[in-house]
Amino acid sequence: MALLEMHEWYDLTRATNWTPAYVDEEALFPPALSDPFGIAVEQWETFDEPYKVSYRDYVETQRDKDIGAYSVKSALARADFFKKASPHWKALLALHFSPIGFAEFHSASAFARMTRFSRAPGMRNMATFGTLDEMRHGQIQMYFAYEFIKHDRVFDWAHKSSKTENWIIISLRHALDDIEHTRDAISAAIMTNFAFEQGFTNLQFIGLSADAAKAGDHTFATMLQSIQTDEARHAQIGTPLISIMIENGRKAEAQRLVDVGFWRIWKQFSALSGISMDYYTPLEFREHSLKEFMHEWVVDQFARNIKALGLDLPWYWDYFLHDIETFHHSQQIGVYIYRATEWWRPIACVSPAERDWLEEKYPGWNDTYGKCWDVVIDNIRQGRFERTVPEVPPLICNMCGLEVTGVAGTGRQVNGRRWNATDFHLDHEGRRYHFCSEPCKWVFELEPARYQGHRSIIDRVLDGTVPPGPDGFYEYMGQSFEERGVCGYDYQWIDGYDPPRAAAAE
Amino acid sequence: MTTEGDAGNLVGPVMRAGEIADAVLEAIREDNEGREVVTEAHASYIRIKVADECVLRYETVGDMLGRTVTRGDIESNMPSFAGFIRTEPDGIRFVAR
Repeated sequence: MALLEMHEWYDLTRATNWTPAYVDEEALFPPALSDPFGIAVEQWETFDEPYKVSYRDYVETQRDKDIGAYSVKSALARADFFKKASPHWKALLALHFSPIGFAEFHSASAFARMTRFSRAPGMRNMATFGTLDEMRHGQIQMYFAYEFIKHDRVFDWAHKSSKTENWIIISLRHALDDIEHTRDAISAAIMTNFAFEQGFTNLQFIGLSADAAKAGDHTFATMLQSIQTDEARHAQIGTPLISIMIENGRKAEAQRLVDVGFWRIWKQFSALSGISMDYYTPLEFREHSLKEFMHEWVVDQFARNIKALGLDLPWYWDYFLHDIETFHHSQQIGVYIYRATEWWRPIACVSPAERDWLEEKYPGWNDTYGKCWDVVIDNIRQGRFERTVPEVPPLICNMCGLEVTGVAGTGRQVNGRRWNATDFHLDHEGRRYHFCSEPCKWVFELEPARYQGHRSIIDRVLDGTVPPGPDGFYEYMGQSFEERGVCGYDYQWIDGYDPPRAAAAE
Repeated sequence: MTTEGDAGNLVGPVMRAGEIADAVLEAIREDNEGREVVTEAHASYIRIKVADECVLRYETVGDMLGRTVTRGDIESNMPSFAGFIRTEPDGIRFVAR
């Protein structure tokens, strides 16, 4: 018997908005979880999947993807790439696998909720596949990371991190809780599928794969791109939703969801991809700078989609363009000097040659961030290692959970030095909240009740949640003594500065 | 350096570098005859771009490779694309809107 082609049966099988017999419609699809915008179900039923796939086709394709990714891993396992990799690449792998593995499971949960509560049958189809995709992403990255544990226990944190109160994990979890877990199905999809996945995943999973391929880590490169082929499909959920919202008089709400989601996730990728691409990738393997990748994938490709859908670029776009060139440089300094609060072995990546590259990609780097590193370098050369670690904790943003920073060498002069770090604070119901930027503060002001109960890691120190004593902070964050980061190069990275010093001595 | 949207309305797939990507490029040249096809090669991926609309037909890709090519074969090697996607029975269209 001849089988029908998919396009001949697809629309019929998608019509799954049956009339409930045992409960009423509102009990089946509570507005708070399904549609707080009050759009008629007939409108949601116009959702037409831009990227259609049948379950049979999906299973076959996913099987082939897994065969491809695991085969490459298996074939290259004997090459002992990891054992021979430099501290640069090991730090990069640790930074990728530790937070991202569990973040994929967050997304699986979010997709499952979209599958259950969306009133659009086509969206439920796509979200079903998205749920399975994200489970695959969590599993494959956990599996690949665990392969390294026999060489380096740092990779235990691929799983462990999600169960800790480490400050980096608190930062990421807060962002994911906000956009994925505490919204209705439509809002979560616009924020997750459009702002997050269409906006930023290309950066880490394709941009970084280019670096990995140049570095010879074909296992990592193949895995990254294999994951992104799923993202390219299920990230399309957001576009029909935005169109339906606009057509039904909800453009302002759609715009706000994009603006909030985009900013929250940018902060995460700024630190993750920014440090990975501009610092942890060995110099000779860098395909592009973060700024260049951002312009390729976000400022051009994604921005065009925002405008083509009838939305506007986020109101903070100019600020965002400035942030692309600045924020991650400050975060890299913070990550290195507060290295004991991280579970991997952070590296500085500011050898003379690397500084030349940074100056070329970010003109003015030496006169700004370079000055901070000069202090660190001088302390190391003088053997004052204790002065490379600050005694006081940083000011942490009450929205993104990252350090409040600025650009050295600019701004107001204090004690002969210039630093433009600004605390965008807000007093609300008896307490002061601190923010790293105007957009982070703006997000809070939109819905104070949503955010005011969250406590940053510093809030927890001040209110006594973190136990006192020299080890209390680390114990709270789940870090035994052996799990506290130390310089990945044991300070040997400053050797590159010695020839000029020797020349000066002569 | 780009400013937002300065690539105009160029749309099309981003393919993982390799045999399928090469075949897709040749197929797109054939299926979009008379129109300029722009390519941009990176270490692990290649961008293929056509103004406003880019048509990709599975059968043409198969002709280039000498074997049957399915939607899944394309998906497995396409981690991203520029523009908006429309899957069709015999291929994929990428459109500016």
